[in-house]
Amino acid sequence: MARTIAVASGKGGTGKTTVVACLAAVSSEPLAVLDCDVEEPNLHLFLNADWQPGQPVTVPVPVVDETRCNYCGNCRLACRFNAIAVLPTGPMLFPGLCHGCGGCILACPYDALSEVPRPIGSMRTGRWREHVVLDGRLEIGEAKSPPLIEAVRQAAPDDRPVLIDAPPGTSCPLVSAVRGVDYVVLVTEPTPLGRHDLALAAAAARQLGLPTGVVINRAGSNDELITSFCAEQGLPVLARIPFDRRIAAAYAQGQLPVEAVPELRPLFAALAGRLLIPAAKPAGASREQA
Amino acid sequence: MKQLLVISGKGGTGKTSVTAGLASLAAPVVLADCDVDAANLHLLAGDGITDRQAQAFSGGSLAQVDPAGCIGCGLCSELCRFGAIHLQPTGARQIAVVDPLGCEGCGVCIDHCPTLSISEVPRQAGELIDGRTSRGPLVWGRLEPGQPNSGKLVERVRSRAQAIAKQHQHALVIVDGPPGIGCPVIAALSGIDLALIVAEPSASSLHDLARVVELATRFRTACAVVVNKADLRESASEQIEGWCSRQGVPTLGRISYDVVFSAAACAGRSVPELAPAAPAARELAVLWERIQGQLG
Repeated sequence: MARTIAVASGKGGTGKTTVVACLAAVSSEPLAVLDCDVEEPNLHLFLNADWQPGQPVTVPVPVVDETRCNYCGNCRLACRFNAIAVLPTGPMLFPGLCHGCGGCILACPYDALSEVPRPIGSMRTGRWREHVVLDGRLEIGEAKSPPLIEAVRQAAPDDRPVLIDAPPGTSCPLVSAVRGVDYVVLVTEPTPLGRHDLALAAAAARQLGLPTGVVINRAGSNDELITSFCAEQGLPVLARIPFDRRIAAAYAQGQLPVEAVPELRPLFAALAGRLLIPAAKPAGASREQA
Repeated sequence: MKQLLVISGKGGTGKTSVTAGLASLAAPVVLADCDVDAANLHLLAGDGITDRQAQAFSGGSLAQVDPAGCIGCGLCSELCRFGAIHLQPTGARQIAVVDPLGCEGCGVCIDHCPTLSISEVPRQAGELIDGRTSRGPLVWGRLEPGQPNSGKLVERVRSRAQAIAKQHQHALVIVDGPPGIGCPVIAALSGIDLALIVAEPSASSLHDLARVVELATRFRTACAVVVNKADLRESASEQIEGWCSRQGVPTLGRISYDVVFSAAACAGRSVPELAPAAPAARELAVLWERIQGQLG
């Protein structure tokens, strides 16, 4: 079975998208590359894919057939999310609060409730070089991204390794993006803030039982902040991307850093080999000397 | 009391460093760190935090199976739409087991268990913490890794900060917001007088700025933009300012890219505290003046 690798971070802006785009650019085998940061999808700015038209992604929400409703209020009692109020004029539904659990449908004794799809965003597929690229885009004003993240993951082809650009943070969007993957790469930067958030993201990955490694971005004289944490936690340091203004400039313009700064190529080729080729399992690989 | 929110859409543009800088210029002020997934403002608290106290945050509920009552019928796992409960062989029989990270707390399994063997327990989802800093009171949230309900914790952090501000008659609450546009950001936007959006001159930041401005507009929140690291790419900074002017979003200035920001972060301080004469500190002072103008 093909491997699935997620690139995540805890803290935002540490370089997840840079790592994903560069790995895709140097990978010697075709990948499925997924942008699961659906609140702020940015991968498309770096991988100039020929996109197919977007497809809406929906969640089921209840609607009421007023001719059948008896105002009994069972649906309201079943709903733990306050998404249903029953007024003297009939039930009122708040789709934005609905989690799509179906509890109200099961609770209705009169078959007065059914479900309709409500769009929460869109996803699309494209080709970039030999890779299949997918991204999701949450509708503005929509609060819950996990169903969209799951839809993007489910649409990935299963005949090739999958590389996921995960959302920042440590809560439910991250869990949706990384649950069940084979390996999590946490990208961090050598600052106290980077270390603090790396610890939170590593704790989330550990709770999910996922093997994890660390990439230090903007590496330099303060790397000890991160390498000491990794040594304590037994996390391998997979790569160090040096601090280089040219990388920042390439990123700022939406250029691939591996193409703007060719010396980065061997670094990412080695990382791709280590992560994406099943024979070179990162968990068993030797650790870089801290 | 006025409330200023600092957000960015894209992560890592410098929200927390800007917030800490503004806080030291605005002191005394109440600070609320609403990036509850990865709160960082307390790491830049200057002279440290005193009178620290924490209270548990329980967000929603979780299903819990009583193994003694479970007959292994599997109805719960059939009805759960989140794949969060399944049968597991236990000795000679099958028993339902809940995956706490998958459970949404919807209660469907509880309501339909034929032997009433599933109950609802509160989910220990994190902590609400507050303390005193040299700039004023600081409140922040700490969500347990992998937990849902970050929006609820944001609401708790904000109402605690507002209560403290009322009690001690502070005129301003500065809220350090989460990245993105999802539920914690929506929770951070409500009742805000001005959302300061920290942009940086990159293609990603401009893209994400447009989405976060649209979100703020939809919630009828006034917003303004500051371009951080502006000199890294002059043309992109101009592009952001041009976009803002076409959208009618005021730009309140630029902040230079300066290693003094990482030096300040490593020292646990803000830029105006560490290097008051640095160009970035002067730019933050100009920004603070203009924010006061916007807040009225």
